[in-house]
Amino acid sequence: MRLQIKRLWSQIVFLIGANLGALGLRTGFCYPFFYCHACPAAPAACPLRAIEKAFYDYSFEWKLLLYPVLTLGFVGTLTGRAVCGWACPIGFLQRGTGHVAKKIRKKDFVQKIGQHRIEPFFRYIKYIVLIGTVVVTSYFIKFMFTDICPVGMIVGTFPLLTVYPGKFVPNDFFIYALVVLILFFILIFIIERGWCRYFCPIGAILAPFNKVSFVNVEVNQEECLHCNLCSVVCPMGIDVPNMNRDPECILCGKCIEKCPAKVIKFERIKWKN
Amino acid sequence: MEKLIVAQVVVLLVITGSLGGMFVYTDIYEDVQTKIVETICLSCAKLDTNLPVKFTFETANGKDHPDFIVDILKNKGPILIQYGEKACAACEDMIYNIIQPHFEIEFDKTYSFDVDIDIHGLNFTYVYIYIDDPATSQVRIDSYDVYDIEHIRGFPMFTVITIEYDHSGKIKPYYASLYGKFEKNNNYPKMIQTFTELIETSMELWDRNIAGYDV
Repeated sequence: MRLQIKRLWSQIVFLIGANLGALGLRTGFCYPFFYCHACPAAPAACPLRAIEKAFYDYSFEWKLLLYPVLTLGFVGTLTGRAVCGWACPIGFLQRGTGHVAKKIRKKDFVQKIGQHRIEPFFRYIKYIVLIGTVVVTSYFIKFMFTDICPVGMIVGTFPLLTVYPGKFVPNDFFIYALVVLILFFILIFIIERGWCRYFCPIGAILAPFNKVSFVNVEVNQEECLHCNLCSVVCPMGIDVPNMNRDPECILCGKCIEKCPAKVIKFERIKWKN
Repeated sequence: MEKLIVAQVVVLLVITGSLGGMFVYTDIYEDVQTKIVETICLSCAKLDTNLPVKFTFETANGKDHPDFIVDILKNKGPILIQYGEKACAACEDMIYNIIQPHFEIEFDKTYSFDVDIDIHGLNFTYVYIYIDDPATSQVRIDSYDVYDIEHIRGFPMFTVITIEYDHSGKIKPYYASLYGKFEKNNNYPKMIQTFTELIETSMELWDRNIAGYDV
């Protein structure tokens, strides 16, 4: 079976798993990816909500901070950001929009954005979002990322309004969240995996674990043809031949499939040289 | 390469050990389950302001009224319960714009407490149940499900409880639950009026029925 087909199945299985609450399953686990606990079918908690509650209104609860971070750290140490590529339902959604993004990528203005010299710095926005809106604003002004979270709106708010007709109405944050949601859709339609690249706070937590993960993508530099096909297909816009456990790599395996010389492969832990 | 492997193993062991320790030695699993997963977060939606307020005898989950409620009903009078949680803007709004100023209650929103109120001609027991207060008993947290008549699991929820004859002629606890900020456009005077009317009705029913209330 082709790698991308396996990945598709994996994403479908995890999407179903992320909605097992529909069967009445309500656990005390955190999702290791981006999904909203306010989804009527959610069986687990959003890690960001737990972190926000840890810091909310001048408080600090170490358990609510450590628990989601350790959960993500455990998964990140084993597989790096593979959860972004293989499990995250929002990654799955962007897989769908990626085809459009690839076509739009050929447009001049998108190319300008993609090739702009400050584009690599955009990738740090997600760390600012994580620290700024999940921690700092929750602590000082009680404004939380989840108040305007586009993912929460897709899988939480809209299903909630649908499943409980007449019991919920939009609140003061709704209009702001709607604007963010529209921007979210524009982003993922014009930049492949735009959300994962620039804004995802969960990706920001997982990214450093790529440096120590047991699974990663390795390029055999000596046999590389430098055709750059791998970089062209990379949904995260990574310079694949020169990546060294790049924090942005989501281990989707597209570069592995595309490489004509077959010099890119998944590397697991090496016990012997 | 050996250094990397050592780093990988050390990181994995530290994380696995810490996570395992949290599961074994703390109540984090139950905390996340009851306070996040089973509680609907209303970031950009809120509970509808137009849900009907109806008194009923039937508990929402079919279980009996908790003992602490029955004790208050038997010995003191009607009850107003407010259920709140951390990171709930509507909970705080209701506390600081209605409960605290109108009923003149000394408030620390992070601790659960009971207080007897005697003001504006209203006599009742105010019970504040803050589910994120570690000292809040599980019985009190679970009482939410007893009175969540719309099966919403959203906050804040207010429940007014009194006693009344049921259809079989027996006097039983009789309650109504209100959700969120239950009037449109932050109409606080109207909310206060709703509370006042509900509590007055509860007091009247309690006074009329307490003599025959046998637990």
